[in-house]
Amino acid sequence: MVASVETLNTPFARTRTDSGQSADAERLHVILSQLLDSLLPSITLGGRFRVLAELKLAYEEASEDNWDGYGAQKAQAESLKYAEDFLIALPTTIPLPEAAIDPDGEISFTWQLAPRLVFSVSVSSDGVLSYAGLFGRNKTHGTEDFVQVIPKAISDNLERLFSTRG
Amino acid sequence: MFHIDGLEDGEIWEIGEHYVTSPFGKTLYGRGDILIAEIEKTGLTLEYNNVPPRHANISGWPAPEDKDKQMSLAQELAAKATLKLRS
Repeated sequence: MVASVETLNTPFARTRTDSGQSADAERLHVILSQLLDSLLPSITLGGRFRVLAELKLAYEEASEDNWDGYGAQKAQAESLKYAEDFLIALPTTIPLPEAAIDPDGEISFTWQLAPRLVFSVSVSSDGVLSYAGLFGRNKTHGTEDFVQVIPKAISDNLERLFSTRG
Repeated sequence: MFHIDGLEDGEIWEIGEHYVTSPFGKTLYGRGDILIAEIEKTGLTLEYNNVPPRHANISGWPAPEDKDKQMSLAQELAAKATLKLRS
């Protein structure tokens, strides 16, 4: 199942009316909550699985050196592993990025809202995240180690990107 | 990249197909056009080698270990380029 993050931000997930206060209504609410709790993880990961599948395809297409005709290095298996962990660790409130293989064999993710509203993260084979962002006339770039959790510098920049969208 | 001054639109697409996509069995979906002056404003330079004809490389990129700086420059170039999709 593929569900967008926008779907998860709709009020459907936790809506509860106060109109039914009986024991049956309370029991129904508990059952509904349990049902939603069991469904939400698969809905949340649904979009990520789609990006992961696209990433795997791109990885296979770039599995040999010079896959771009310009001397690119083949996609790095270790980079793919870290990239998968990075994607899964992203907060569900962040829209999913476009994934790509870079000419140096690293996996990169890009969020682009406009030509000058863009943020990219490249994942190396040893878990180093190189990032760069363009926010109008402002620019940022840097590196962070990735150890299972999205580094604050990166989550802050993603927040900046999506708040700039207004 | 290719120097496209003086070429008709159809000739530009032909270069892309002939030298960039067809040899690798790929499909050409689009291209980015950018002025040389915009490249030079970033501190990068253009080096013509004419292999194949009209071909040039952008040089002066930061070292591989400074990938974040490379990415930042690439974003700047992409923002200044005009995307043209193949109809």
